[in-house]
Amino acid sequence: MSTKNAIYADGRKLHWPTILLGLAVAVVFLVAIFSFQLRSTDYAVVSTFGKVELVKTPGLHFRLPFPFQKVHFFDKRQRSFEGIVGKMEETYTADKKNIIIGIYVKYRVIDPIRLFNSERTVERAEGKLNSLMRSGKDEIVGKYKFSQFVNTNPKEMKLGRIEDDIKTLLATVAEDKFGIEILSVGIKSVELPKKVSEDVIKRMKAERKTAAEVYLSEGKKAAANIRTAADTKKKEMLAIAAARAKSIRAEGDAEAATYYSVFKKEPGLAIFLRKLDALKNIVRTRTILVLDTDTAPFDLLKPNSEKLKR
Amino acid sequence: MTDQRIESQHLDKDRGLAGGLKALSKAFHYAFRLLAVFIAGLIIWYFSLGGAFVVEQQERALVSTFGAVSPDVRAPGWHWAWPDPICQVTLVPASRRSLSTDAFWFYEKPGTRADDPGRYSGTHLVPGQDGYLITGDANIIHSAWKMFYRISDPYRYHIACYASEGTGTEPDDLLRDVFETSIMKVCAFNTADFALKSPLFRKAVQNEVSKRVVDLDIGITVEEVVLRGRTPPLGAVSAFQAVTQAELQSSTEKHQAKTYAVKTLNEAESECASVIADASAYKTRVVESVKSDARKFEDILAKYRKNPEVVPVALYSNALSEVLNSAEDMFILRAPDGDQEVRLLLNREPKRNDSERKEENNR
Repeated sequence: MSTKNAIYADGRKLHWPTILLGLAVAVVFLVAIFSFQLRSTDYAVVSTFGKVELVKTPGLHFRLPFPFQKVHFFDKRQRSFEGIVGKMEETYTADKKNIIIGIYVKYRVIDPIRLFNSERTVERAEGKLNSLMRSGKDEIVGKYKFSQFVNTNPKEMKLGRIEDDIKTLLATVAEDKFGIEILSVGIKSVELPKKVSEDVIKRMKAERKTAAEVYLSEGKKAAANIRTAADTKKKEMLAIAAARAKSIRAEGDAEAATYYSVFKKEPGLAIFLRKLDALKNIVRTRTILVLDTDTAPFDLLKPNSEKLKR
Repeated sequence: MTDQRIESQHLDKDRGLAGGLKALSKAFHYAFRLLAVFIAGLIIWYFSLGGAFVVEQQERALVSTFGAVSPDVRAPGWHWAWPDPICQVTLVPASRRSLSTDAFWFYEKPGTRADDPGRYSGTHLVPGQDGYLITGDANIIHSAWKMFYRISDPYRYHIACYASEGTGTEPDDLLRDVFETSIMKVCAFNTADFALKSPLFRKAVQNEVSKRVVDLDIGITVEEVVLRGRTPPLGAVSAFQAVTQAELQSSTEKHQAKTYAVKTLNEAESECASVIADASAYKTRVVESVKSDARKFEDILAKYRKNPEVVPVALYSNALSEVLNSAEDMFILRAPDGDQEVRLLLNREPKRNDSERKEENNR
């Protein structure tokens, strides 16, 4: 008890827990007033009566309270800015075609003191950057032909180079004036004025009409070619088959001829037999025969036939 | 009486006041103790449960100490860190996220249906209102897209990518700009036919945007790009449909021709085979016939040599009887011996048998 509570000269007791609590609150209060936290994603610019100092290291830092010192934070991460000023303005290409180009810049703050001294805030710097983007875009677009913005030929297409040119134009000014590093410039839209888009749609329709006719005629042509080729092939195949058949028949005839030699033994009989066979083959059904009685065996029908006499 | 009574009354009053003060002091004392206990409890809570936090399954957490973020990414589950303002916890979404863009789609009048012809003028496009893309062959198309991505490296994402103030965790502007530029560039390199018909268009955009996001090095990985819709300008849709129809018709004609070719060649093969088979049959028939005739001749020759008078007559008679039996009509005329005239009636109606007659009646 005696260690916990000391005694004042007038006899009052010292209450240590109360004192400790008070001290703790005072420390917290002082730390809150005399320090600031810097996040890993930010830079801090500490201004002391107009004199500025950059703090880059994240963590807890000392500062004097307002009005002696004031801390300004700037996000150092990369971000995108599109801008509104001049976004829908027509720009002329080198071949005098008017187009509407939409660009954005990817940037990050690299010199917050410069930014703070020139524009104070990122938003104000973006406003200035927007004007730079507008003039830079107009200047660079005017150096290129429309066909270098859109083209199926990679050698003709210069979209990447146009972006790089705009970036180069902006980068130096943005860094020198605002402490901003332009990481890249991107073209995110290429549009045409209302009247031009109408003409393009008309042309597309006309092209499609032609394309449809071409498709139809090509289809007919291809179909006719296929049919003709098939017919020709068929004729060729049949001709070859006919030739082959002729050859086979000739082979047959030649082979058959080898057996004819047997008929030489009695040519008269052979001819007689062939005639009989021919007669049988010729006279088939629905044949009307007109014979006379001189034909054997109808000669037997003749009155006083010699044959009967025999 | 009066003086003593007055003094006595004053003493009683003093005693009552001292008692009240004592009671008040006692009450303050208890109140202070209660407050001390409460503050002690708060301090205990602050340094124990006050720093506890939960990371959900679809999240990852980064802990900053006095603003300096640690690269140690906290996985889902319970965690503890010194409470704010010493440490701050930043939750980063780890689930699959999506980003849609209609920047290249035409303006649709609110409240109109998709098939309503009045929803779009069709003849021209209004800059700033109707979104579209210009293709490499200087045509116009509309398309709508969706990208799926994941924050694959929460630490890198947190320190490298500026998240818009509204959401705090969405890299909307940067990612959207990169996405739209990728679409625009792929389209500017290719033809309208490719952009409107080819499945490779989507793949090309996916490759382009993936590469660009990797170059950004902001801890984000693009997982998939979906082409939600693509169409030519509505005013030219019918012309495009006519081409599709023509293509289809052309394709049908080619297909029919190919079918005809296959059929024709099959028939030709069949006919060829038939011709060859006929020839082969002829060869066999002729050879076998001659062989047979030769054998028959040799048989008859042997008999003929034995009986040369009778054999020819017998053969002749047999043949004649066979012929006469198969003849339909036969006329035996007396051998001409004077002015005899034979007249033949040609082209008379052929005789029909019973079955032929019945068949005709049925017809």
